[in-house]
Amino acid sequence: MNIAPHAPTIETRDLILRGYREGDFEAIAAFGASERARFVGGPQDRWDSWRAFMAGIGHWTLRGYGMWVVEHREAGHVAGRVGMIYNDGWHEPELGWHIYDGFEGQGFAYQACIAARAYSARHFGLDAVISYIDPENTRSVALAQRLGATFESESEVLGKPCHIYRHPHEVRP
Amino acid sequence: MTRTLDLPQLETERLILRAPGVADTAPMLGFLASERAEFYGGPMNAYDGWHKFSAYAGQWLLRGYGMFSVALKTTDQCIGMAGPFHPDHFHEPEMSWLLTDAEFEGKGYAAEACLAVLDHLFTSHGWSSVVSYIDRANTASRKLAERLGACHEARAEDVVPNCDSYRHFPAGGGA
Repeated sequence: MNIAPHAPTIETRDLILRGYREGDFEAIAAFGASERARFVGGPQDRWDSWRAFMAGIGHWTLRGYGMWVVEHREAGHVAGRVGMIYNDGWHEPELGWHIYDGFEGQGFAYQACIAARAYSARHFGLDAVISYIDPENTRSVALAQRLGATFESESEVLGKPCHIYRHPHEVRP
Repeated sequence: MTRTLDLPQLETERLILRAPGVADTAPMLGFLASERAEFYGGPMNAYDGWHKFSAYAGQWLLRGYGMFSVALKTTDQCIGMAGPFHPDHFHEPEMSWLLTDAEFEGKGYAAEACLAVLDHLFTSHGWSSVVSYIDRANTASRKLAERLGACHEARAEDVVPNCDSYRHFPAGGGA
């Protein structure tokens, strides 16, 4: 067997969570180059953004799940990426979110995370997952709390201190 | 439903060439962390290695072609990768190859894998030629390119620093 999985499409009221397309790169590179990427390994140059873009797809190939591209249904623009990240060296799969410039503060991240989290629990068996959050990233902490996640422990990712938040069960344990 | 894509698998006398899989992570991260990765952007830490390896895997879905994992038929162990690498800033896909460990060198594995991939690109994809960018300090790769029948083409500073381009053609055709 030589079958590569890729992201299924999920629709919410305002958003479409879908797989990656070549045309998504400019939005991903713009986010990667911006200060907004400082809590997710950036800012980074175009070359590293390309690698992140390909790795976002490759995560689906290697793990069978990953981050979706979040498209704003009406605008037709890429609003960010959300989904499950289980990089080599991670303690367990985490729910992660990148929200792009212009799409913050409108509840889109919440809407996308709820959809990705529910889908991952039902279809990938990833339930009551964690999120790694830099404590200085107050907006992410607020979103985690709004999603019902609670602080669990202090930890470290890539040699940098971070907090682990634990999401509630989607499926009855 | 999760969508899937059926990727090609090639077979040679001693090797299976297949899509990169999670089982190849350890040998590939070992390679990328080692001095052997000098011409592949390394040595690099496990985080960067994971991203580079998963990016190799991901290119398949975007481009429809990519680097195969090269595994020994006898053990299914991943000993390297070979295939067209095509990041954003390359004008065309580049035939690339690597062996994860020195113990696999000198046995003709890289040539065996590359010949199978090149034949696949020329016959199944219908490509008329394919380039390789080789660092002028990478003697082993240059020798392999020559052994594969590739012709030295030009300096390729504008694509990859310190590299020359070599061009592969279908057997019996082209140059």
